[in-house]
Amino acid sequence: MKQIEEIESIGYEELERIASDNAVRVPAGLDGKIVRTAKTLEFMTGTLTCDKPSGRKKRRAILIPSAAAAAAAVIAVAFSLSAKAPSDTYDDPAMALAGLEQTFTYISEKLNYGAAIASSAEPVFRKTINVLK
Amino acid sequence: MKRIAALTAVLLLVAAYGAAQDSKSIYKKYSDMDEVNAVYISSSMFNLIGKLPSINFSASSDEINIVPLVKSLNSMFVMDCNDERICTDLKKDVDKVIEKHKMELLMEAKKQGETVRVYISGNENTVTVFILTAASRDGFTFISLDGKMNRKELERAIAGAAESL
Repeated sequence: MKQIEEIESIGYEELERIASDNAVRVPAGLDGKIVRTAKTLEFMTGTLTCDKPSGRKKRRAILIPSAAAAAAAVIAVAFSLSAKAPSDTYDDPAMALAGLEQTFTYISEKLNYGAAIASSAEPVFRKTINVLK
Repeated sequence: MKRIAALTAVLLLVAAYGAAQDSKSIYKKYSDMDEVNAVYISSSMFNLIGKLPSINFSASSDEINIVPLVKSLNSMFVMDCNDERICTDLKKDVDKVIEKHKMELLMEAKKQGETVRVYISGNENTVTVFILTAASRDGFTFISLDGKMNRKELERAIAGAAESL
């Protein structure tokens, strides 16, 4: 019988010749052995991959996503900080103050809309309350 | 209790920071357009304004010192547009910010085809974000103030500006 080393060293042409040689008989049940071996290997591989993670693996499983999230957060913060801020409309603080005052005046005018509407509605509310009383 | 207060303060600041970032994004998107008038005042400029010798609003009754308010402001964005298409887009973006940060509608007034809305974010004593929108057929105005504003000081400054008209 040939040794494994000898079989491994046989070339393709020699293997073809042996395969086509009818005189050489295939041992009975070899097919079944090959299939069983393949299934065993498959099962072993699957078991190994499904194994519960060890302590180190668990730590890695937690640490890697955490590190990735932290890195993403750092990048996001750095990006937001580095994003070009708009430039000030006014160079002079006095002009900026004038702009601010103008804005407050505008806000005030608009708020007075609401106050005026509420004031005009007040007599109606009072009249209604008096009627209800 | 202290933890809850600290957490609330942090959440308020985060919310204000988020809204301010969104206002900044809107400003950056629209301010360069020809159809948009835009004003931006940064926190650095507010610091400089706070150092001016006299920054009181002269109301008829008394002078209102707005230094504390000015120093508490981080940024101010003002945008005004007249183009219908741009106004629609700007309004949509502003509405998204208001909705996203669940801002409280403080006032809504409709007069002569103009709708004015004022939204705030903060608590009883502090206003972190103040947004005013004024929409009409002629255009759309958006004002955003953010910082850690004392509510009473803000109200007094606005009232003072009205009296000094």
